Amino acid sequence: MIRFEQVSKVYPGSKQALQKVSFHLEQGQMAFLTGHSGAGKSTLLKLITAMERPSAGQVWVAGQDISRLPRTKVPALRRQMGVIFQDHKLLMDRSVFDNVALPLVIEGYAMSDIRRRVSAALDKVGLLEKATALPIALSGGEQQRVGIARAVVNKPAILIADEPTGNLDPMLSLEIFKLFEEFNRVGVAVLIASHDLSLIAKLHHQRFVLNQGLLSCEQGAADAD
Amino acid sequence: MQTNRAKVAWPVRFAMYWVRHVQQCISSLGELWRTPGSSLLTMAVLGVCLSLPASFYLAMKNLSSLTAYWQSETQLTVYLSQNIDQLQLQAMQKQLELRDEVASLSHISKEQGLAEFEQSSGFDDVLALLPYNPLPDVLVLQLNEAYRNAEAAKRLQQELRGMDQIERVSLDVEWLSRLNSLSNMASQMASLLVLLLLAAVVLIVSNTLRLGILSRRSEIEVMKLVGATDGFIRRPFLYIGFWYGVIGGLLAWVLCNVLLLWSEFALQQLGILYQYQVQLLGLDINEFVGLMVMACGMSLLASWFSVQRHIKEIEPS
Repeated sequence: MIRFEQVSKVYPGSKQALQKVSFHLEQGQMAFLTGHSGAGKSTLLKLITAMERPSAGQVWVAGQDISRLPRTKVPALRRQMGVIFQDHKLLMDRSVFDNVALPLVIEGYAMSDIRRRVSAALDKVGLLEKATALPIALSGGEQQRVGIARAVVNKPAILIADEPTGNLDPMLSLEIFKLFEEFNRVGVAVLIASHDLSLIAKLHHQRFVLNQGLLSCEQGAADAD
Repeated sequence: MQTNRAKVAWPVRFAMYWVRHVQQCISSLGELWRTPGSSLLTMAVLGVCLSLPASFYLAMKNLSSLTAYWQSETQLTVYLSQNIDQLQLQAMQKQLELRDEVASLSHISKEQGLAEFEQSSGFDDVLALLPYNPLPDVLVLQLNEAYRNAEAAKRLQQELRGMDQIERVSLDVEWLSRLNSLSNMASQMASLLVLLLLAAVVLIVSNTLRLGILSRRSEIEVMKLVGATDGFIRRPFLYIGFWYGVIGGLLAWVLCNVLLLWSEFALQQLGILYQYQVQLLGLDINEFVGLMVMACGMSLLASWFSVQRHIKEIEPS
């Protein structure tokens, strides 16, 4: 689903953010991306969502080489994946419903479909009764779940999350990770960047560890424990 | 949840595209309503900027209809020499009537002339003292449609001057041709001003939209992150530009009419002195549509350039 081949990224005037990174996240696979801050986690995720372009190497997403993707094709790429951000990136002046509906509106779904799908997504994250509220009235954990509902409402085959539990307590974090596991169980490929090592250790999934721009793979909880 | 992405069928997509258009059209009007301060100011400036070219246009239109009317009045007054006799006079009358240029001819005899002069001047006592009538016979020539312009009338005047028995030929178009050249110059100055004002319209609209886009920067970033195309993000802003044009155009039309009524009133005061009925021409339906199309067109064009550039610049990071 996501394949990196010898990908390097250099920001002008600074050290190399990624050095010849190669990995493959298969369809329906769930994996964590760890490493301390500044190790290149965000850079790697930005390459997947075409917010940044690699300096060298190739990035494949859903069978498409996106390392030289023209600007006009970027929106179509982003519609194929759901992305969850640490700071949620919600539209604060629109209701929860409108926020979750945004990807469907962009894609041109009919009203009845939008209502049905948004309700299903909100139900999944347990926020159905908050549909008419403004995000500002919600707690941090709830806002994050709105962000998750928005990411999955379009039923994407890939889910990317950048520090989704960064501001949450361990209980809430675990809940959210369980939610990701549920999506993974129905075949969604999930890649979660997180530095919450204790939490990751509890979940048995593949781990990619970034250190100074170099990537190494670690297998599941058994090795980690 | 299914992972298979159910593609939206194209008829639905097509229908929803237009539904969104209507929605965005209306919601952008709501957007203007929510920020009345800046949008009212922008629309007022647009209205004033557009009303000036429209008023210039109206002024030129009225002036040219007025000069056309005055030109239609073009007539030659032929003063015959004192010693002409009745037979020569009749021959002269026939000769002039047969000319192409002349539509009709009226004869004011010296006696008639004297009587009129006595009446209008009130000098009858003094005139009675004169040993003879000093006034000549006068022929007034109305020109044919095709010759009612300054050049043709002048040519005829020159020709008639050379004839025997004709003392003087007076033609009152000198000031008319001066007026023509003056109004030509004025219209050239006006078109320069119009260009400047239209440039102002473009700058105002594009700057207002630029500020609008920058104030919604984070929203645009989010939309881009969830896969919105530039076109989708552009649309609400273009509709805002469109509404600026519509409302600015209507405002210009209202201002123009106010100006028209006002100057009509002022001219009427003047007209009473000259016993002249003043009726100014306003914008007709075609010209109104033209004004609106121009207002919307300029505004949309300006929005397009501004929005195109600034939305491209905003990228999520």
